[in-house]
Amino acid sequence: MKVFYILLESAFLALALGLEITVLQLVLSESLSGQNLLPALLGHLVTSIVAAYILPKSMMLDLPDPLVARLKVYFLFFVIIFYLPVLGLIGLCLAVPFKALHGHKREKPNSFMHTNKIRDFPSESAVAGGPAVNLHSLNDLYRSRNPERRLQAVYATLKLKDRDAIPLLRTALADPIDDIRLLAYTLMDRKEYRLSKHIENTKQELEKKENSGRKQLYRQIASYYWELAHLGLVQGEAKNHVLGMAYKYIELGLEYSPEDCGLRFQYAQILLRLGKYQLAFEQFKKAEILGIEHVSLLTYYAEIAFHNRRYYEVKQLMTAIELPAAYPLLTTAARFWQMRSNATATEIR
Amino acid sequence: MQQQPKYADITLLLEGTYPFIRGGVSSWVHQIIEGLPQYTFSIIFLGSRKSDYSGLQYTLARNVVHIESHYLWDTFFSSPPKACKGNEAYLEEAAKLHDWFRNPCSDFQESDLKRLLVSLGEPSGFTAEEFYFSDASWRHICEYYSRYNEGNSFIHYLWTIKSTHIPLFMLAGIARRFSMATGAFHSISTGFAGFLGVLLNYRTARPLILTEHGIYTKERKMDLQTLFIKEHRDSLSDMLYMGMQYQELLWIRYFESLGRLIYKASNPIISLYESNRKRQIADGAERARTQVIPNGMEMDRFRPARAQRPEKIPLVIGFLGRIVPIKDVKTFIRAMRTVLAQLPEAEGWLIGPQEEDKEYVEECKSLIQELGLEGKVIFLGFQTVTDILPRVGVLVLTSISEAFPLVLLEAFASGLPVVTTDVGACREIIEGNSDEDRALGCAGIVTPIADPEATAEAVVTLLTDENRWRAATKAGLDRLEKYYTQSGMLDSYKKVYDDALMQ
Repeated sequence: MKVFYILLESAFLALALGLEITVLQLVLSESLSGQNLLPALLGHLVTSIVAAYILPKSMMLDLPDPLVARLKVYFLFFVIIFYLPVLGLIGLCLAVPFKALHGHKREKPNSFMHTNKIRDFPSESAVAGGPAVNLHSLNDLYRSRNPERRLQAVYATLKLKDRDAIPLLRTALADPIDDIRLLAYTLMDRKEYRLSKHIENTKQELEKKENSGRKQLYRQIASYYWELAHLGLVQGEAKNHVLGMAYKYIELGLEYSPEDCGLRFQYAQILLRLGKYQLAFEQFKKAEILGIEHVSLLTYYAEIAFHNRRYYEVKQLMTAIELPAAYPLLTTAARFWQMRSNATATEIR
Repeated sequence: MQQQPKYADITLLLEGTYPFIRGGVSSWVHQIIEGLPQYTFSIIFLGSRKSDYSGLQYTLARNVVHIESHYLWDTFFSSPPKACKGNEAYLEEAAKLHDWFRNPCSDFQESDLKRLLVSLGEPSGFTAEEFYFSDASWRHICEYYSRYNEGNSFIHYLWTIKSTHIPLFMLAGIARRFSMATGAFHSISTGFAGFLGVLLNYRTARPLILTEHGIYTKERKMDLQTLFIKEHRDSLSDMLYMGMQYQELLWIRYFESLGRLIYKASNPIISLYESNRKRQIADGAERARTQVIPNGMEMDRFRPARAQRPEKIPLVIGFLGRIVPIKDVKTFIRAMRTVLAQLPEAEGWLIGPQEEDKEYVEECKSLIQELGLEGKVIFLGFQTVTDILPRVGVLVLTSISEAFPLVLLEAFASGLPVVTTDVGACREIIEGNSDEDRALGCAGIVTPIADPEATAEAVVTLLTDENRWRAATKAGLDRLEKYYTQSGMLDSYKKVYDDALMQ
């Protein structure tokens, strides 16, 4: 069957070449007139369309999946052949054997895999230290209807930071396919286990330490608890408990060094998460006095203002934020408030 | 001295379960043996190491006429390695079998397969020594490596190939030495027990019945993932994109191939619910050979338990099962924190053996301590179900994977509603499988996996809404009586056994 298609495509390609040569003869003929220019143009158009359809496949190009992307490849070939009469077609035809040979060499080692139901084995050399994973494309990959692709997306979260990986893993916990659900669960569980183990070990270390070394350990324990809550690895009452523990250890740390702006800032963050807005505001202010830049606290002030229903203040604070492109969610929120601000300004005018 | 019988109607092939490990599958095997006293049974138990098991966990019924145990992690070679030439012709034939594993659509004659497997481990066929120490075998391994696996570590490849094949030679030896005349073989999983079934089936021409509770390949895949992630927890980002290393992927492929061989030799191929039957077909089982026989429970055994139930709903939340990661006991513990915030007098009981994964038990204990639940969430170890369940108010199952958990039927029979995760057949057991079944009502609440808040909410709902609690209890009993009786299950197996024995 495959041979039949190859023969059919070769026949069409030969016909296209023949047509192109005829067109060339027409154009070069001494009696070139408006009458045979139109058939020549039409012939060239047909040749270009046929060749643009067949050549990318003959060259064994990995055509992209979505239709639009595939059409773009066909269009590119069409443009080359149509605007470079004869030369474009001959050039591309000459490229076929070269590309076929090159492509064949590259694919040889995996040729057996296509008949195997079991997932393709990754090559260690091909995968180790692979490119960084883009979160958005990963979310798109996870939305695929193909379970293998969704599974790959879950595996790929290993290349992400925890805070980026966990929302996708949480979604995958409800996947209809067992394997995907189980993998997502195992990955989440290990992340939680790692932090819990750090807490346990650091607490044991704390018992052995004298006063001088304790400050750092309090900070560490509070950070681990904070991570558990902040990453969404615990929920509900367990989350409140974890935040309560973070609060307890950060206070212990602050007893040793009340002037530590980092500790103060983390303390304020925990208070904010616990819903103690006024206290959080006071602690953020203290952190600012101790050296944290005002601009990096604007989002927190805005959040407190929002919870206290001071929306005008939220608008002002969000307008003042200059966000790097790395925070798309925050950028969206900031844009929303900036637009609200502009709209209000227009209304006032 | 009493002469040991040399014949059993059914030889059960059991891997890591009955009678040395307690659990759902073991209870089911016990139920079958005791419930069908008209047949004699012999048991071949396959385990890891002898030291991993602490003796019989069940009193064997009178109709068990023979039992033998084998341990697959035992030392295999007792003499030093000795180079040999190797049976080149056998390896050529085996290569065709491997090609069939790679491409199941290709043609592979069952007679060739039978010849290969029957002569496995025989001097006239292919011995373990030949596989490990012969020139021919070495050449084949190298050839396969360069043909299919180049680019991955040769050392990983070589050792995985060697360690995956040791059990096959061990099982061939067990099959060769098995002297009990048998009417039919019944394997309770694919994997090693199933492969032994294939060997015995080919050697004796007696039928092989396969019952799969979970799906073996899926469970092994999960074990390997969990093990790998656990061992590499501090360097997860170095993992290969499939989440496992190359050698673990080879193991998965190995179990998938074994599964295909076992499906080819077994008839009937039984699963406990429809989804698993579909999965078996997708994994290579012939549709016409597959059938579903759900679990069943004896109502009468639980009559005293129902009578003991106090008028007031006990504020006790029970977890019944082995304390192992797949049961996600941590979600139960976390849920208890929320339950206790609303019902401070409540208690959580973890009922089940703790020997299987001691590290996980320690993790659970740490979590209880961390969440300040000491004295409120208690480990009770193994308990007799009929004694403990009347003291429980609601049973919770937080598993991340299940097939058809017997514990749900035990809860129904004791007059208990259930909160369970949406895994395996749980939803159909709780909510019903057909319109008529659903009309009986919900016997509990189904929640998403790894969701302590949803679990807690469901528990509190059932414990605080007496009407709903009673309706769920009634639905459970009605459903059990109508669809999941022990007599129904035993009748189905009686027919399967009779058909096999007539062949």
